Amino acid sequence: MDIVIQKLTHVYMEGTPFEQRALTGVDLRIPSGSFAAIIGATGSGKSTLIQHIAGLLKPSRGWLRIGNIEIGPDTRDSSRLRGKVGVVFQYPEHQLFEETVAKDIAFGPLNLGLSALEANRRVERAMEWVGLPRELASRSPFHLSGGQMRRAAVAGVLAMEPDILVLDEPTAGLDPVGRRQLLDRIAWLRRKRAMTVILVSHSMEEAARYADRLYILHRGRKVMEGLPADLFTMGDRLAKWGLEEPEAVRLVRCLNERLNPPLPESLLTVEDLEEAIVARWEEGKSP
Amino acid sequence: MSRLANPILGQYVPGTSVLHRLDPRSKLVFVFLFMMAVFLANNVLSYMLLVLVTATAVFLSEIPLPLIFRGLKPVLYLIGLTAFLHLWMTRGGDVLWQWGPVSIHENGIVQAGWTSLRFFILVLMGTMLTLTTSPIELTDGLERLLSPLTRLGVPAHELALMMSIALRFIPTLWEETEKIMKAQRARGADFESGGLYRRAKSYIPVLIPLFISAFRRAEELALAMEARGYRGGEGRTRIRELRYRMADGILLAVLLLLVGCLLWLRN
Repeated sequence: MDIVIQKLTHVYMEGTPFEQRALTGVDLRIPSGSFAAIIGATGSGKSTLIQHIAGLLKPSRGWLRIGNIEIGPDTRDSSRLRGKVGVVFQYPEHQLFEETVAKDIAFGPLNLGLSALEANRRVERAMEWVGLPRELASRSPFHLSGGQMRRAAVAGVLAMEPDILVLDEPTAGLDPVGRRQLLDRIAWLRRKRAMTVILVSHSMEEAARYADRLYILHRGRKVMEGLPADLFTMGDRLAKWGLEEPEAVRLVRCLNERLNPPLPESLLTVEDLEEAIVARWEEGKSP
Repeated sequence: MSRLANPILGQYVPGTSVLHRLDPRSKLVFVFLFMMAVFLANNVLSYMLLVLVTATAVFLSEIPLPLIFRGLKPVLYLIGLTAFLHLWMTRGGDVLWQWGPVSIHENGIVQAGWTSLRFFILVLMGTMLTLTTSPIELTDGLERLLSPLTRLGVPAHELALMMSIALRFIPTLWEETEKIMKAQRARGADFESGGLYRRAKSYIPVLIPLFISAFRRAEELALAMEARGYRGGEGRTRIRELRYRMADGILLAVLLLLVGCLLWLRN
């Protein structure tokens, strides 16, 4: 399901003194099956944008199309998107409410009208996807550790088996290992289920490591669309948008001031960079 | 929903009018005693006096009338309902209209009229207090008024603190509710359809996380207050000192005069 967004504008509380413009004329296209990263500083309109994709907000002007469902300012019923688009909001563990982990994960599937049997199957599958041990299924979600709670909440969304998965800063508040594990799982699952993943983040590291497309928002406008490798050519502009280059990119830039021949400008992650430096080191030892 | 389009009953409207600048303690005392004095009135003249005082307060507050009345709307319905009930239920005096067992008596009309007027004056004066006094001033004033009672074991400071914390967190919890509702809606929750029972039940996935976050917030707040050395009201100084001014004295005089006149006018 491709996502096409045309001239999307959203104004909160339009026509009142509290009016606030969150998005202005955003055009973008996310092809089916891609891992897209929407990046922007705080207040750039990221959350507003994804709430449109999730069918939770309607555009003030413009429209968007997800698969063959079109949503414009006059669309009455956007609930058709439910189940097709899954959203993991910030701190999703704050939405856990059931007595047991399994019941909480089953909430979404049951709302989709699935039978208890099928819901159960999906619960098991989703727990496996996020790496939650089976024996936690009958535990209260409030007795889990922070990382496990986050996974249980993500499983609750995955159990609806959406075609499009939207993650709003899913790693906020997790430790570095937890971050990697969660996003690695998502990346793996995306390939396995051929779903589209939209990652909202302000971390360039995460975007560069996992995404195959980047969309940068700044003050409610889309200012850039491209591939992770394009990050190398942007330099100062990122800072202007309140963002930072990935660490690896910065290091390559510093090293290249002294290295001849320079390192290739496609090293986006620390691991790639490490490999390149080791290779260069070996070269140097055996001329 | 925007706040201006639908003001909550008695929600504070910032301003610089005479009423705004009065000491919250004198406003609290005035409104409290005024409300009791309302029950002294029992004839046309005494009620006219009350209406006059209330109208003066509304005028002095410099708050636009439509804003006041939009907030009062739900109360007006309630007043209408009580008047309606009085009309049919109160017996006594001449029977003005009868149809089978249903009848309207003379006293019913009189009672309906006076009760609604009294009710209206009470609510209006009450909102004048909250419309012109910020919640912080209000709790400060309440604390100071109750402080003599601390010797009798009334936790004045704690009560005032509880009140101000509760007021402070209303918007926060409201925001939280909206966020949780969105998240559950994305998981297919439906809050709009079904009967009363089903709809009430559909709020469980919202209420439980909301309670949990409220408790978490409370714990964090307590910890943060302790970390900043909070140890109750004893020996605590404040940045805004309450001070009685000339206007407060005038208010007191008005109150005494009002009670005197009411006692003289009533029969």
